[in-house]
Amino acid sequence: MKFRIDRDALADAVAWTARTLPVRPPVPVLAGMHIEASDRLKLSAFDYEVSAQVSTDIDVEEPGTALVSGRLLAEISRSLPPHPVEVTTDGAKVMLRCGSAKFTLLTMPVEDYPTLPEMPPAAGAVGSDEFAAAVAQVAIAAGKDDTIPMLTGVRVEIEGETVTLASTDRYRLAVRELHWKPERPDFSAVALVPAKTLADTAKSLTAGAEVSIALGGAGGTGEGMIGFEGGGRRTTSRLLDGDFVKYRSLLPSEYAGLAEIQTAPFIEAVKRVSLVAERNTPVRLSFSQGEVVLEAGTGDEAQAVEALEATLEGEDIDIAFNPAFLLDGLSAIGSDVARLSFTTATKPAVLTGKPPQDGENPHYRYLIMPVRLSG
Amino acid sequence: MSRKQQLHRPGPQPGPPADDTGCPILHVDMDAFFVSVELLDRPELRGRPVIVGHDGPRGVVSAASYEARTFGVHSAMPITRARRLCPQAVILPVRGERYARVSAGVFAIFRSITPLVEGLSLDEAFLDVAGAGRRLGRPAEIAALIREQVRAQQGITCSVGVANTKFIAKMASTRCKPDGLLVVPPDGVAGFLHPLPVASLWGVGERTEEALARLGLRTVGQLAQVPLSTLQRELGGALGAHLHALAHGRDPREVVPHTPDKSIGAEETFGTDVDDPEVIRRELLRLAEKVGARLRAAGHEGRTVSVKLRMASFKTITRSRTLREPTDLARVIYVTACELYEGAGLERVRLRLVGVRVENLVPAGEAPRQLAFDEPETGWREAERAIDRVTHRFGRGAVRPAALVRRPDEGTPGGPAGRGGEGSDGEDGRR
Amino acid sequence: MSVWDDLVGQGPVVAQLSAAAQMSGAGGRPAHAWLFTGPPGAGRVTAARAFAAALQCLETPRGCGHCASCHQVLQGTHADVEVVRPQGLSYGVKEARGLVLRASSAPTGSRWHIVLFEEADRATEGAANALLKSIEEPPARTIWLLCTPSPEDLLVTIRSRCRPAMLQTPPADAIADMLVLREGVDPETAAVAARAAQGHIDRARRLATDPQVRRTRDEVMGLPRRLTGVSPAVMAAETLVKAAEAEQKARTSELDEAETSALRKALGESEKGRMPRGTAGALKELEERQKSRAKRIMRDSLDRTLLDLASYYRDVLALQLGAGGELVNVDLAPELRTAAGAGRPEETLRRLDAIMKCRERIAANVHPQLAFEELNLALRTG
Repeated sequence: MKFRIDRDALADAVAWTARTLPVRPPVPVLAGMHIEASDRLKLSAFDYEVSAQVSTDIDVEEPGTALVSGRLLAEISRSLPPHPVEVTTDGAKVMLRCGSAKFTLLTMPVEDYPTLPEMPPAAGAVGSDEFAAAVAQVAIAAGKDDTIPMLTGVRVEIEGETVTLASTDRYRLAVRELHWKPERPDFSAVALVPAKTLADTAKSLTAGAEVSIALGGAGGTGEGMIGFEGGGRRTTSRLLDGDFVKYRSLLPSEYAGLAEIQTAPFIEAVKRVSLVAERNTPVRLSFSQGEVVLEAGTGDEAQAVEALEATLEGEDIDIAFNPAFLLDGLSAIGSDVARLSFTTATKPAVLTGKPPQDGENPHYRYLIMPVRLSG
Repeated sequence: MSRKQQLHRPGPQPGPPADDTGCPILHVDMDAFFVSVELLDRPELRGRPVIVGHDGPRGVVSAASYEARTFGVHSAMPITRARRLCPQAVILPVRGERYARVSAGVFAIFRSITPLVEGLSLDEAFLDVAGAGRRLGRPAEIAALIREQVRAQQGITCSVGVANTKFIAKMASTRCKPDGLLVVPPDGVAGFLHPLPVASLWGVGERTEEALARLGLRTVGQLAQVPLSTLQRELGGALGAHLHALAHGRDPREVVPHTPDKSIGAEETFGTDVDDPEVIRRELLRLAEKVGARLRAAGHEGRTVSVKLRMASFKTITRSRTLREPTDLARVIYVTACELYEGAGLERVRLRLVGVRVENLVPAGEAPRQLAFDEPETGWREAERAIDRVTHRFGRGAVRPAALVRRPDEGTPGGPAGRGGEGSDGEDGRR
Repeated sequence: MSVWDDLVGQGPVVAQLSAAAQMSGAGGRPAHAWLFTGPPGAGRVTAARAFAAALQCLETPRGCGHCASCHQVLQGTHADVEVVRPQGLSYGVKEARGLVLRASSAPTGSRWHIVLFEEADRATEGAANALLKSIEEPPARTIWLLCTPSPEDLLVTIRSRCRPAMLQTPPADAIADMLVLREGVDPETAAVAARAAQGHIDRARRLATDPQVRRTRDEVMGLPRRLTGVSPAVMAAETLVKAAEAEQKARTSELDEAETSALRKALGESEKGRMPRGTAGALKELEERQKSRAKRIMRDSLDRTLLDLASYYRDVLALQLGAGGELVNVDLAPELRTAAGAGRPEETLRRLDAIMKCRERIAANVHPQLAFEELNLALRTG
């Protein structure tokens, strides 16, 4: 194997692929990065759940494959001087030459490396920036506790031109709708994708304008897999098994009160009052006409109180939230004005941005369960 | 109720107030607390022998009225035995939350006197009133004020010992029970202490009592005669020094203000050491069940779960984790305990003892609770309370998680050898 | 070359498994759960791995042993063949739940998603019940391969849902042939090693190829001669434990070194031996695994010592009872005859009982030195 490649192209490709290297490889070869040089360079990493493959232009002299330590290659390619890089195999070694610098990597048996999963058939495409933003908005609400695997996923529902993303950790629920271009107008599918994988992938695929999403059908190629591809990078992930909560029934159809607050001052105020209280102390919001009073700390503890301007439709209400959950939602709505609608102090409240036009449905809803304060 | 307290039947009421100069330490102890609270709600039972405890084949006496005590009934005694001793006794179930509420009222009175309140349990506290003198009067006057307010506001009686050290104050309150007040002035300590049996000293258990008896030492006075070096030689350095100080009325401990920040725990010593993680987990489940039930009985929730693991080599480690919110649910305690156990890296190590403890206690229902979508107010809590009710009626073990149900013929590797720590880990088990 | 090459003297099982693999290759659905049983060393796991490779093989007939898929399965890196090797003495319900969850997913590119569970008998009752669900209602493309010494080692509810693959104790001749052909051992050494190993293939290989292992065994087999008094018996116990320890060390250090260096290399060890940041955890984990494996090998090694010793007395008994058949320890024939003449069969039986009792005590974690001392005193008096 022998090829030449632009220094930055190599560093980018290696860095992107290295994200998928397992921290605790179940077998040593999985810590390797698979290098395949033909008309293009393909770099792959795989941890049995997620696979990543990037392809990039090279000037190939002699095609070939090799398996080297992914971490070491990543470390080396980060520190290369700004010159073209020449990569060659020499017996059981891979040599990198870059300007006057020269690096040697030992190879591992390339034939031991597992075959990467096949990409499922393409289902459609979505704008890469919008997709990354949407996934980020939803993934914050996913659970981190592996004991309920279902909650660690983002539910992806595709119905024609609409994609709905949803996730919940039982305390909050984030739902986002977006438009995309399906391969077939009547395409419909559901999938449960590990939230962390989806968030990392979506963020890392913004180089191209679009991301194509690939989903396998039952029994066919790529069953139980989802694939993403954009800008020469492709990722596959095993889907999570099992049903998702019937989240649509959680979304309240009506509300008793509706408040609007300027988002930025609201975020700052929540941060300030929760700062003085012990961690996880709920923030109490007391809404009245024209004002919301924020308060943290209970009983004899030091209390922080702050008042903000707010509009309120409906009766005065006191409602308390975990400040971290509240801040997650406020940061995700992506709107200058936050709108909070509620029924009672122990029922879920809905946080959205203020829609540009009244009556319009917001694309993003963040449902949050209150904290019940002692009586 | 400790063993020592039972050594002394209610003593004579003290005579005219003794000189309380230099006696700023008060020990306040509610009289037959659980029973007194029950009698508030059931005044018709007043004057009759009353026992509070889980009535069932394996239930034990949590508290007994003084009338019942004259029949020889005392706390920690099996209910079945108490029944035989006193068939006419009325047996009432334990209502932890009710006691916790009354206790909170009593402690509010204490804190209105001085911030230096050291709660020992729901019904017992040390107060340092040195700083309250100018406002409220002499220690004996303050003690009388407390007794009056507790009676007026909560309808129950308490006994107060007044002295210059914590341990004399505590012994004084024991001596004047029930409904008494006893001041032991500094120059009266020797006279108060010396006639008492050695077993009444703090730290003298049955073993030490026997050791002292072998040396011919039966009273505190006799003990006080023995030189420090002799005691240390016979009993070991620390215990010898401790007893020598006590026998001379010395106790350097100060009143450290804190709420009855108790912990509730249970532990188990295996008959033979166990290295099977499944057996360990099953034991953790059993202990979590027990701790959960005790928490609920006492009306507490705790925020910190800790696990104690003692290896075959006797090396002991504890691991603890503070939860997002306090709990009294066995399920939560169990899951946390398992994670702590797994995180300790002792999964294949032979263990001789495991323990589960919940600390950072707060009265139940007072802590804010994060609600969840799928958790209506009747969830696990309801299920576990239902178990508590069945347990009241049929005894512990009538209802238990499937993992704890064993076929009768199934061997139990390392089955329970002794109920390690049952006695000291009861509702007032403190660290 | 084929995936079945490593199986010795298992004609019927190979035929059964190979047929199932060909059937799968032709589009059929093999049984969704298989139970591989057979005495230790006969090759249960080898058979299960070969079967897994054959099921995933890309060539015809299935089980070529050289295609990319076969290679990955035999190397243990195939994405759709998960090998479960319980690290501890038991496999708990929590691990089992995770396994069931992973097993439920579709294969990533192969025909089947295979879970190969070595030593499935280590699954606790709770774990077995968790597995049962998946084995009862298997996902469409998942195949379970469970390995246990005997069918009785599994819950009957699981066992009854598995297609049995029963390995025989491989005949000594077949093992000897394998040693000659595959390891280049001379026929005489091969024959002695094969008999002495009593059907344990790997043991035979080590006896035939590693002089240190042979020396250790000679030490063990010399024990009966040395039991001349109480204090020699106690000293002999120490020798035995040391012998087992030595063997354990020899076996583990070789394995450990190879594994550690492979992992260090994969994680990016520099030429100067420096490791990148964030790799300490993975190395620590490996070290833990190796430690617990060393513990188990030590136990196995002690048990092996006792089985060797038992073979001595079994030979003596056979001679005393005049039973025909060849001796296990042909190399010790003269000594065995003397021993047979010097004692009575009742004594020999009591000695064999004492050895079996000692095995139980070792399994129950009694300190080896104590157990062996007790054994040696019993062997001495008979």
